[in-house]
Amino acid sequence: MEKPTRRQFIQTGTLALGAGLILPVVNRTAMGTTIVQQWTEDLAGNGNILVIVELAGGNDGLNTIVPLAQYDTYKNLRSRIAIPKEQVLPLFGSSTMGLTPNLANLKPLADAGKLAVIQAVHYPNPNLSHDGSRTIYYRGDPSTNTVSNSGWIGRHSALFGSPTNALDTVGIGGVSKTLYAPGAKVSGIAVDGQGSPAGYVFSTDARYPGDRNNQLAAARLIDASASPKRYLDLVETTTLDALNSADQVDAAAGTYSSNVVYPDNDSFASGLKLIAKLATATPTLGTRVFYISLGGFDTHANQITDQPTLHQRVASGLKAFQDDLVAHNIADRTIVMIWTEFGRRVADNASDGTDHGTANNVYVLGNGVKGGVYGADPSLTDLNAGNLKMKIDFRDVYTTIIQKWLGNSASEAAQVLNGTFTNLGFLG
Amino acid sequence: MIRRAGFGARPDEINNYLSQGFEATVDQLINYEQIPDPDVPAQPTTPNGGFDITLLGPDDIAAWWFDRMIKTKRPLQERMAIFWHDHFATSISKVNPPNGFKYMYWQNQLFRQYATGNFRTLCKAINRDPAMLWWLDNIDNVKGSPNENYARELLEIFTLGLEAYLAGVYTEPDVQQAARAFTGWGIRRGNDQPASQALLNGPITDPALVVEIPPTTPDNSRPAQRHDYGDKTVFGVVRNLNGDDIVDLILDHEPQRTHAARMLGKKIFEHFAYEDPEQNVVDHLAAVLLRTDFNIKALLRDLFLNTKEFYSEKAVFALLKWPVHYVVMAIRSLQAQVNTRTINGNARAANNATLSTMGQQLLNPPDVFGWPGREEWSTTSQLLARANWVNNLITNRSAQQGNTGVPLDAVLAIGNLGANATAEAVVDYFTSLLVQSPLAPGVRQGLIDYLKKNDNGAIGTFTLDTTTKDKKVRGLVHLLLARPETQNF
Repeated sequence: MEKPTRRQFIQTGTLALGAGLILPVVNRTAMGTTIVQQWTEDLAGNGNILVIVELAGGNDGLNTIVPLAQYDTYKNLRSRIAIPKEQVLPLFGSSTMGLTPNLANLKPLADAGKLAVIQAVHYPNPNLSHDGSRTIYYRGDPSTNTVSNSGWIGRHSALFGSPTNALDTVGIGGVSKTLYAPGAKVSGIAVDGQGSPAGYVFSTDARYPGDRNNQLAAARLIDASASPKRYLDLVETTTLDALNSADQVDAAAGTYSSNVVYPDNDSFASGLKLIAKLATATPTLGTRVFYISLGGFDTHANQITDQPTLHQRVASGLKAFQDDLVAHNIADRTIVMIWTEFGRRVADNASDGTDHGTANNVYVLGNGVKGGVYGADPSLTDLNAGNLKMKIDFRDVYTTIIQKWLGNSASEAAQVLNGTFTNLGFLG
Repeated sequence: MIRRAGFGARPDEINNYLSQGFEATVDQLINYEQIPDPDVPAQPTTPNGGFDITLLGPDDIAAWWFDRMIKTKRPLQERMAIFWHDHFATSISKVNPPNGFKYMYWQNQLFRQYATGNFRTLCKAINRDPAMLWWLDNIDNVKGSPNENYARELLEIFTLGLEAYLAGVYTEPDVQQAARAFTGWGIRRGNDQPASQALLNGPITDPALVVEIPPTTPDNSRPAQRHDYGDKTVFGVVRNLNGDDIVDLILDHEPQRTHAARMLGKKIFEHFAYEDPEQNVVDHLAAVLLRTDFNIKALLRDLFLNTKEFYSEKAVFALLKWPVHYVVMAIRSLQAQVNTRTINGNARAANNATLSTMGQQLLNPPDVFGWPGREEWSTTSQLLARANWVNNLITNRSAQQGNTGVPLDAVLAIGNLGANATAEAVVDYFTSLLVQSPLAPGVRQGLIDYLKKNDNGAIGTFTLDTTTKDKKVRGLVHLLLARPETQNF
C-alpha cells in the first residue's frame, strides 16, 4: 500500500479537514544536539480512523442482543437475570433478536443503519479464560503455542503504518497488546476527568526556564552502542516518542472545541472525548487507530444490577462521541469496533450472574458501516457444554476491517493475520 | 542483588553489605525476621490522626505501605508483599465501602506475614481472606448453581496456570467441581456484610470473625446450609472435598503438584531475574519447591545463593522496574523525605504525576491477573509520568506537608564532592548512586556537557557552586532517573 508523506496527505486529504492543514509545520529541532528529528515523520493510511473499544471481563452478549425468537428457552435458562420481553427494543435488521433497553442511546444509530452486529464470533477450542481468550483476540492468532507476542494492529502498523509518527496508533490510558509489534509506532496517553491528556508533558525545573532546552536535548541522549537489551531499547524509543509527541498532543487538546456534552464523571466518556480531541486535530496527527478499554464486565454475580449500568455508560459515551464526530465532519471516516474476550454461560448461576462462556457478538458502529445483523442467530439449544457454538471466526471481522477500512488488499490482510479469512461485508 | 531483591541501598547500607560478605548478606536479606525494623510505622494513620479501622481508606493504607517500603530494613519482605499483591491481585475497584478497605488492609498484612512463608499456608489463608472472598464472588457461591469465579482463578492464576489447562492438567469439569467445594465459604451476615449498606464500616477487627466456613459436619449454620456436602470429582479424585482440600490436592496430587511448582518457580524467577527462563532453570527451581513442600524462603535462598542465572549477564537490565520499585528506589537512593500520601494517586491527594499515571496504583490492579507489566510499563504517558514525578521530587525546595525533598548537600558530601569537583566526577558519582553499571561513553559525555552548558546552549565552565548545585545537579538527577538504565533492573 502506498504510504503518503505528510505533504502528500495534506494535498490529497479530504476537504473536510479544512484549511488549517496548510499551517506551517513548526520545526522544534533547534535545541542543541537533538538526535531524532521531529515533525518530519511520514503519515500513513488512507485517512480513515479505527477506534477499538474493549469491554474487558466478558460482556454477556445474550443480555445485550436478546434472542427474542428463542425467548422461552432464554427465560427458562436465565430465570434470575432474563430481560423482560416487553422491555427488549427492536433491533434494526433482525426480527429474531432485540436490543437491551440499556443501550437505548445507540438505537437511533442502529435504526439509521449505522450499527452492525456480528453474531456468534469466536475462535476454535475456546479456553474460557480471560487472559487466554483476550490474548488470542489481541494477537489475532488462536494458536496457543505461538511465540509471537505481537498484536494484530501492531503487525498492521509495522507493515503499513508510519515508521516514524509516534502517534500512528494511540492507546487511551494504557496500551493494549493489540497495538504492539516490533516496528509499530504507538503512544499511550493518560486522560484526566475532563477528557484532556493527563501530564503529557516533559516537565523541567520551573525555577530555571532558561535551562529547559538543555534538559530536553540531554533527555534525548541515546546509547548508540545498540543495546541488545529489549527493555533498554524500548524505554529509549518510547522516551523519544514521548518527547516527539508531547507538544502535538498538547496543541491538539488545547485547540479542540465542541458543543457536544459528554457524560460527567465517567472515565470511559472522558477517554472518548480525548480521542475526539486527537482525531479532530488540525493539522492532523495522523493517528490511524485509537484503543480504549472499559472494565467491569466479569459479571459472575449481580449481573442484573451491574451490566445495565455498564451498558448505559457505553451507550451514552458512544452517542456523545458519534455526535462529536458528526459535528467535526469526521464521522464519515471513523468507525468504532466493540469487542469482548468471550461470551458468558447461557444459563445463569445462583448468584444472579453468569460464568465464563464462549461465542459472542462483535459490534461495529459508524457512518461507513452497513448496518444490520450478520451471521446466524446463536442457538440456545444446540450448545457445547452449556456454551454457545461459534459460527464466525473473529479474524473474519479483522480482515473485513483491514480490507474495507484500513485500505489494504486481501493478500495484505492475509499477511497481517497469517491466513486468509472472509470479508463479512459490513463495510460495504 | 540488593538492587534486584530490594529497593536499592543507601550508600551506608552498601558499605555494610560489602564488609560482611555475600553469604551473610543473603542471610540478612532472607532471614529478615531477625533484623530489627524500628523505623517502619506499625499501622496506617487515619484522617483523625490515629488509627481507626472503621475510617481506614486506601490512601491511608498506601501511604503507610510506601513508608514501610522506604524505611524498612527488611526490603525482601516488602518486595514479596508487592509480588503477592500482584499474584493474588485484588482491587478497591470492587472491594470498597462498606468494609472493603478494611479487608484490603487485612489482605496487605497477610501478604507481609506470609511474604516468604509456605505457599500452601498462604493459599489457605487466601481461601478465607475476606477481600478475596468478595473480589471473586465466593460470598455468593452457593450449592445448586455454583459461582465458578474463585475456583477458576485459583487454578488458572494462583496455582497451576493457563498452560496447565491447555495441556489438560486440569479441565472445565475440574473447575466446576472445585467451585462446588467452595460453596458456602463467605462473609457473615451482620455488620460486615458487604452487600449491606446499613453501616459504612463494620467494627470487627479480626478477619476470622468476619468470614464463615462450612463445618465438617452439616448443621443448621448458614455456611452449612449453603455448602454442597456431596462428593466432587477433581483431578479424578472423588471425595466430599472442601476448599482447603482443593489446595491440598493441587499441591499434593500429581501431575498438578509438579505443574504448580513449575508455575511458581518460574514466576518468582521472572520477578527477580529475567523473563522466559530456560527449561533447566525452571526445573531447578521447581525441584527446590517440591523438595521443601513449597517453602518460599527456601526458593528465594536458592535463587540468590545457588542459581547462577540470577547473576548472569542476561539478568542485567533484563526487567523493567515496576513503578512502585522505581519510586521507592529513587527516594531511598537520594535519601529524600517525602509525604507518601502524594505518591499513589488517590482522591485525597489528587496529583497527576503519581503512581496511577505510571500505570500502577497500589491496591487497584486492573484485574485478577494483576498488572500486565512487561512492555505495558513503558508507554509514552507512563514514562513521562516517571520523569515528571522525579522532576517534582528533585526540584522540591519547600518543607511542606512532610516533603523536604532531597538533601542535596548531604548526598554530595557522601560522594566527597566539594567546590572543586569536576563535571565528570559529579556525573560519575550520581551514575554510581542511581545506575547499576557505567553509562555508554556518548551518554556520559552528553550529561557532562549538560552540566557545563549555559542557557544559550554553549559549553561553559563548570564550578560546583550554590547555583550550579541548585540548577544543574538537580537537572542531572532528573535526567539520570529519566534514562532507560535507571528504569531497568
